Amino acid sequence: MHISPSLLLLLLVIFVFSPSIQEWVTQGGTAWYRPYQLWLITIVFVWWSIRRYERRQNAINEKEKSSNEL
Amino acid sequence: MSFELSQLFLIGLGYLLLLFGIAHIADRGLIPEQLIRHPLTYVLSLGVFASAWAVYGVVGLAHEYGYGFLSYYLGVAGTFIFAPLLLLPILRIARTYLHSSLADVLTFRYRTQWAGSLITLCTVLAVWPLLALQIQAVTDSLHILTTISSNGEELFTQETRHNMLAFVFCLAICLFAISFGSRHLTAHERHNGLVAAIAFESVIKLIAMLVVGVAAVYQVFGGFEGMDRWLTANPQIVSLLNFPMREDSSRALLLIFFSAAVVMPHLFHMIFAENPNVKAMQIASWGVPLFLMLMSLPVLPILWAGFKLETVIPPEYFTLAIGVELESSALAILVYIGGLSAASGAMIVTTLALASMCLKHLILPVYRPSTDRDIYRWLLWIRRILIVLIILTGYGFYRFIAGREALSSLGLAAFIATLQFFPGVLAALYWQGANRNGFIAGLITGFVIWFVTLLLPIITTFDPAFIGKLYFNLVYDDLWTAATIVSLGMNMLVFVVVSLLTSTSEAEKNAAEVCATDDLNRPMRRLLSVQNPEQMKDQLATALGARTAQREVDRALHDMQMPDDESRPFALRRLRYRVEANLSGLLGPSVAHDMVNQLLPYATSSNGSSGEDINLIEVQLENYKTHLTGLAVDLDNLRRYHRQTLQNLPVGVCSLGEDGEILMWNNAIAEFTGISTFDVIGSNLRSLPKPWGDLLSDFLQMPQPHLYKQHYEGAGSSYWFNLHKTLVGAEEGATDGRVIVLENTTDVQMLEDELMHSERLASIGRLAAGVAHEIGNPVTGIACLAQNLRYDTDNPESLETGREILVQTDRVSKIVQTLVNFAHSGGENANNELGPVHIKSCVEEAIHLLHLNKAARQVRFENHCDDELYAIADSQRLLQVFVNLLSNARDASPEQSAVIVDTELRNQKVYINVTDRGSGISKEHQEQIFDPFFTTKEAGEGTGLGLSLVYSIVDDLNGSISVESPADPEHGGTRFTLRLYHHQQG
Repeated sequence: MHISPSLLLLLLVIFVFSPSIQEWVTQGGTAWYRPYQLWLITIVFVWWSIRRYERRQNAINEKEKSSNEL
Repeated sequence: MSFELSQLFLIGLGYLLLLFGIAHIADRGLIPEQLIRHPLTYVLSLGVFASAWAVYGVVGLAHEYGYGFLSYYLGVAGTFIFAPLLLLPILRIARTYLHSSLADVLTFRYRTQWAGSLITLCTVLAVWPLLALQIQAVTDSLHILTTISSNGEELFTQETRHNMLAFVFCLAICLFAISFGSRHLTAHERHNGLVAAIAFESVIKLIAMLVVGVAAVYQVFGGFEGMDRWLTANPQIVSLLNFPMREDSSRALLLIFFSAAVVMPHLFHMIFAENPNVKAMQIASWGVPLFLMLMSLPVLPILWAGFKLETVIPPEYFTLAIGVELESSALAILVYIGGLSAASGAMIVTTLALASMCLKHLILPVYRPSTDRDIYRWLLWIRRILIVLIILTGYGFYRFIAGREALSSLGLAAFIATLQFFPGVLAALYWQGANRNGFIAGLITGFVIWFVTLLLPIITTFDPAFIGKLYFNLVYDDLWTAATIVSLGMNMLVFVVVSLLTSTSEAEKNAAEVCATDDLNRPMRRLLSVQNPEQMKDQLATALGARTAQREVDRALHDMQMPDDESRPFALRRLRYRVEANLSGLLGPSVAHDMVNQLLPYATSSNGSSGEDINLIEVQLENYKTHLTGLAVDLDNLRRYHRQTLQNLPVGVCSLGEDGEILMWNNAIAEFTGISTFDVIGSNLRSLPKPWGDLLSDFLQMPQPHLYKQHYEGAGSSYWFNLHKTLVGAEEGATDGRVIVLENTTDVQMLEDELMHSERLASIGRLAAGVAHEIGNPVTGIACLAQNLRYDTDNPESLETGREILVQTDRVSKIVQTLVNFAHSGGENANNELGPVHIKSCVEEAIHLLHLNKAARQVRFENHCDDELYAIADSQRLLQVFVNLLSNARDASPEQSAVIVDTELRNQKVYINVTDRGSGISKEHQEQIFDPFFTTKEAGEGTGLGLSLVYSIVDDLNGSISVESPADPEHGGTRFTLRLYHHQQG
């Protein structure tokens, strides 16, 4: 099983900061959209981490292809 | 504002017909495959999770649990965000073995049909509340739109329902599911129509939710600022967001919806069975959370708008209430269609997935159709009947509970029931010690608790307060949290304890290893009892019927891109895996496994042991390489390096398993034998084409480890090779197989032959020299006598005869001297010092020597060399050069043509040209003519060493040689030019 380090980092951040996050969200008052801000940040983070992973994979595949051609 | 029932009926029917149309054109291939298989379509089709609950019930959930409603979305979003933890490993198993339901995966993992059957039974019970929820949402929305007017004259009651319309709705869903969901029988064919329709439904419900959200903010509150002001003025509403949410409820909700993606049948089907590729799953890991976020964004504004409008409609239907209260028919209809869309999507996919599970895990294990009937047709009909039965029982359940429960309670009941499968899924992926006994015991425990606590109060008049007392005097409203924790906790406890206390079968251990995410499958290399695909078909026909068996084996051959006459054991093993996977998609993993084990068994090996299937492991490593990290990458690189080294070794290497199966066949041996690596890997050594199969097999049987100078005639040429063999042992004392090394010795052999030939020629030369020497004495005697004759007689005739004798003896002496000289021009003279050589005489001598061979082609040698020119050389060796060049020129020239030798002096060098009028030498041959053994003459006529010898002699003489062909553009021919240092006389 391969879990990218960025996902592990995300897990760690959620675990460590969950009490603070909960407090921040519940203290929001009329700022009901706070959970959605965090949600959007998470989505962008996951999108970025997958893009990064894909780029790396493409680079590896390219390298392998060129070495095979050689 | 109020709607007629007939209006709503027609609108609903029209929408369902539109859905039929989209599915139909997608199934007919009118929508490009690229679009259907696009990751975005996949992501939208996963919106099936947002059932009618996401349109209506979730607002009620927000009312009850505040921010806790977000768990409904965040749980599933979390599953996708952390896809490598749960989704990707299951996807790997499901794609490899063509599993389309959780029951398939867990039956495969726990190696018992009981697991699948039990899961299916539990799922049937669990989806009743889910189906009832969808039907109830549709009928409630109909009821609201037809009976409630904005001034609230008529109060909303749940007593009256449009049950007849609900029945028609169910029949339409049955028709859809049968038309577009049960067309293909195998799991690896995607239902394009279904995917397109569900993706379209997701778009509709998303639009509906977003439009209602915008209407709530802008029409009810007059914009975000207005909503903010209203919230500030009503702090009790804001506090509702936090107050009702207790931490354990929130965690329980998160857990329930986190597991839903893999345990709910409709989600499992859409995520795994309809998955186009792994890349789509990667995109879904941010796409699905984004979709769910957009779906959930309007929920709170809708809830608050409902409060502000002071509607009589309960919070569960606030989404619909906004349109009703704002008297906007378009908005109300949009929400109605959105709800209908969500309900129909969830029902269709749930029913399809469940029908397939019931067929594979409840019917086929008990009853198998006879082989003389068309099994595909039979399976199709049974599945259709099951679809109708499931929807009708769902309808029956809805009628039975008659609106006693809120949507949230029904939804939660369904989700908590399927949560009981979650420990089994986690153990399948992460705990190899888990066994079937533990899984079944845990599942039964958890399910019984769920049944008594949550389902019984829904279907009977069972007093929930009594259960509340059991759970530490909790009130019934909070009971689901306790039920979740207690049922799951007991389930896991029993699972672990029973697994630890009971033993695990060998088959289950293997399956556990296959499922465990960190382990690669370790297939063993065993021989099958069948020898080819035809025999496979015959064997399978006894259970499946000839037609079905033929179709399944042909399909597997096509999938694996193998020829029909494939007979390599390695390929047959892979074909067997594929047939089992295909049959598993058709009949379920348990039935398929039993059938394949029974009909296509492995042959009992004579020595009782079998090695690991190295080739399959390599294939798996190749597929797995992108997942390797750290040390594993280094090890894989090392493996590749060693493999490449062996593959490119200039010596032929063939590695064999203990059973004689070829595991490696490197490039050199492939080139030498003309048998390509791809064709031979995995086949038995004996089955190689002649003569290699018998030759190598016999060599393996021989006691001696080496075999030298083997001769082989191939492609019109002769080859020689040496064979060596050795044992390969992974551990000390144990042997895994053997390695045969084939050494191509053709060049060495030819060199040896040439040397022997040269040695023979040299002996003849020495003999000739000896003979010449012996002849020399009598000839000298004859010459002396002939000279004496001049003094003994005056007879002119005698004198003339004496003169003739002298001329002839002189000629004999010259011939003898030339022979002696040529015989002496061997290697022993190589170190002679160089000196001036008269070129013209040397050429003359060579011509003279060549004239001795009367059998050779008659040509005219013309010596036009300058009489004054001397080169720095060794006369004997230069003679040898001329003899070779002139004899080649003679062989290449036509009869009676001229071979001209001339010289010129340029830059202190003597240029000696030997020009013929022969056929010339082609450009490509010109580059090779000085190579040893290169000849264009017929076999046996030329050795291919002449020009090579010339080249090396000229090199020793500090000169150079070049060739030019054609020598003359008009007459053709060839010109060899020697360049030697000029000797200045005096």
